[in-house]
Amino acid sequence: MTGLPLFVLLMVLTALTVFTDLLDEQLVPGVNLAILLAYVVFFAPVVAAHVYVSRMRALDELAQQAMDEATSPAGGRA
Amino acid sequence: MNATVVGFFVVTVAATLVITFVASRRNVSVASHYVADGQLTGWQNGLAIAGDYISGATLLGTIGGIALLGFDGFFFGLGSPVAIALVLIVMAEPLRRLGRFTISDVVTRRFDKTEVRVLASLNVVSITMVYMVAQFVGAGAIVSLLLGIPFTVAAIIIGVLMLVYTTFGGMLGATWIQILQMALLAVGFVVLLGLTLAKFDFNPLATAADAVDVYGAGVLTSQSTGGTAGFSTLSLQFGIVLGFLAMPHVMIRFFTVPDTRTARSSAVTATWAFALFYAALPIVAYAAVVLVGRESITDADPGGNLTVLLLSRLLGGDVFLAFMAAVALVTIMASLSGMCITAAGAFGHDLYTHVLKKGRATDRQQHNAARLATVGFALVALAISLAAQSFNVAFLSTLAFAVAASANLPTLVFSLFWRGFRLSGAVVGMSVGLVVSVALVLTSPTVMGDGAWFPLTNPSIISVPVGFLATWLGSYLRPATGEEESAAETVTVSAQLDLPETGAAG
Repeated sequence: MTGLPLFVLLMVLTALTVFTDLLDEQLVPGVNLAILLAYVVFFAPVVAAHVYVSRMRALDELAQQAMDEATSPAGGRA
Repeated sequence: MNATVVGFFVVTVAATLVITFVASRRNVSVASHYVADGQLTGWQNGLAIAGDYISGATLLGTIGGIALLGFDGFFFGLGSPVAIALVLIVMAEPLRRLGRFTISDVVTRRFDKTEVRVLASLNVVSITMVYMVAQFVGAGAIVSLLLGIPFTVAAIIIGVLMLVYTTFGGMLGATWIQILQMALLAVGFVVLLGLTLAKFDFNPLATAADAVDVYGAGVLTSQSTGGTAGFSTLSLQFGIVLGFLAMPHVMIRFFTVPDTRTARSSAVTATWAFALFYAALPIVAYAAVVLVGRESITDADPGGNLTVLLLSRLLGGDVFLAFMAAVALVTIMASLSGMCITAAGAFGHDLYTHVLKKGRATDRQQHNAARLATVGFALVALAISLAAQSFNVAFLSTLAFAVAASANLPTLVFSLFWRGFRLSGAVVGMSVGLVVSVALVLTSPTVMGDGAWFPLTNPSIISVPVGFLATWLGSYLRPATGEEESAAETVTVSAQLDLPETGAAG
């Protein structure tokens, strides 16, 4: 479930931003922790999407191999 | 009226009409009208998903929001990349496996009952129509500002163009207009970012740093802190992410691809488009704060909707302003077209074909019904928008997302993943989710002002859990029939696996 941590991160970032001033201090001029984390939230879904797709592709290949083995004459006899 | 802006507008509209004409020659069946024959590629569908969601209000409003409200403006964009990743992981493949034309097709795979199809399609029609009217009124106001014409004329122009695109081009035409939108948006943003960064020594951090120098550190922080304002923002994020997972015009895009692999790749393309788009917005918004100034932004439009266009004119002159205005216009029309086809599908496919004709309509009859429904919805949306132009319709977007998340999402999720889900749960959940979300929005400060009965401006943090709870509890109201248990077994397995017999429904 690579999606759930993203949702939790978003809600935690929102909660910390609106209920505390922990993320307000500037790390460098023009960037506070809230904005830094916002950029993590913008791009973390891209990473999660690629991880998910590569995992599913591997599963597809395994399933295809199993199907090929089961339907081949040798596999059927085995 | 700026002649250059009008010139670019005419050229852009001409390009979209050519696309519609070409698409209309392939719009020959009900499948081509609703889902482009299910033959789109991953990148085409991914860009169209992004084009569906990145509306005129998103493009112009989010930049204006960051420019005027600081970090509060980020909240309009933060949820969207997360939401599309969740769509990929949770919804894309099961929807592709079980749906054919509409969301109701998915739910009725589990409960093949007329009342479920009627309730699900009425939910889709309500959500889409409410969202369309919100976008329509916003779009009319923006086009009116851009072209210097009255709202009524602007709304009629948008309505007629949307009607032509969707009636003749169908889903294929709408998709290619959305692809054109994303291509123009990409070109416009790359140029705008280049021109902007050239003013800041190609240091993206300098835009916000300079904004802090001019307006103080408050431009980087939220102003909606503590108490009900804080909970309203939390609820907004909750509603954006979970509402997106059940927004019908986004979900039906997964019926336009041939298989689950393409559904996945289209969601990945959309995730990239969202991430790059939303990441660019703060740079542009903070540059506008510094170069244009908050006073000039609010002078042009108190809501900040013209921020990106003011910056474009400052950096690139009238020609670049006209180009970006054309981008905004095609963005507005592309997203409205996708919504119109979705609403028409719920009426034409679900209510006409399956309820009125009991599933016995010919393809030609269904195609005619689809086109008539498209014309009907375009005209109804136009009429409501013209009537609502003097009202504050800001609450309508909130309402659409809240109803989608509270009434549709529990039924969709439980249909796909929970064997214990029952017909009684679907009916109770959809009804309770709809009633609670509508009631909380209507009694919120957005509608009632200071004396509101419900304190939060967004109801999702309450209405979504209530919707899920009602759906869960409703499933225990009566024991399952043998038919329900058999469908539960088949659908929950079919949602997860590419079985040969699950290619199409409805």
